[in-house]
Amino acid sequence: MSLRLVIALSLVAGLVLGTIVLAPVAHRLPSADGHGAWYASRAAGLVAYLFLWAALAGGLLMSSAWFDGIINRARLLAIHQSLSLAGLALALGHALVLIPDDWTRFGLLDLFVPFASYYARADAALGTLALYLFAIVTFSFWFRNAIGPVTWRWVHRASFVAYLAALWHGVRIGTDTRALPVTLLYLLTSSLVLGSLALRLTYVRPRRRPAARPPSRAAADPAG
Amino acid sequence: MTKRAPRGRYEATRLSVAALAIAALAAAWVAIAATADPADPAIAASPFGRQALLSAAGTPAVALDAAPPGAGRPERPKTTRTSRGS
Repeated sequence: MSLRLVIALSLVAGLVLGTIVLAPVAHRLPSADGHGAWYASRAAGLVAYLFLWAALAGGLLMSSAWFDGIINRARLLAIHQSLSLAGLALALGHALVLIPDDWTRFGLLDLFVPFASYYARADAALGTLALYLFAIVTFSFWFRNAIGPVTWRWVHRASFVAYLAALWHGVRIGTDTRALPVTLLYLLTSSLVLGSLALRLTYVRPRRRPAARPPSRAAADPAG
Repeated sequence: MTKRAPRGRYEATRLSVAALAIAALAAAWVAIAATADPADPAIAASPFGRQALLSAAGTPAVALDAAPPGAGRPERPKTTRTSRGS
């Protein structure tokens, strides 16, 4: 996939999404009934989930070499990293934007100390823990040489735990969980993760054939 | 073995992902803001919505303390910030 195609697809996706959603409701934008921050947090949470899921699924497919020959591996890695970083930034924003919000009244401790939240303590804590785990997994890439590939791989496996925690957090206390598109989103993404995991676990990397040796001079020219 | 992305390369790819994140965030925010209504039963069923409805009905915030965990937090005293400023 060429670079231009990636850029074009991203722009088209952004434009289509923006147009579809903005056009019919633009007149309602100025009045968020004072809940703008809360709505922004919910939106950031959903998009963060989507990006972190895409990063996880992309990593799974990348490690099983399913995209080999379809997309350049280094570019796929760049996309995988960018999705993780964007998802992490969105997840952080999902929490931070709640602090000045008068609607939900969360403080720093509620949001960033696991099990300190006044609201849905355990379910909220899973969101906090998922954020920390995803951060560790994402930034571990830059410390791979320091921690070694085996540790790095185990750290990366923790992203499944983080994903499950994020999914649980979203399903249990997400205000929009019961909205049909969001319910479908959770169902589809979790099914795809399971499918990708099954592919990854059953994938057998083809063995590399030993490079063919050039025939020795004696074998090539028995007469000489 | 995973190959490292060459430093400085694929900048446009990374920027595209960032742009997509911003576009998706904006789209989701607009969709939620457009469809959400605090008076909607689905929203009112959430603790935050219930808290708002109780406040609107003039129910004392103390009543929320008796509610089960997760039913909302009493309003923070607003005097702290103003006294700090004076």
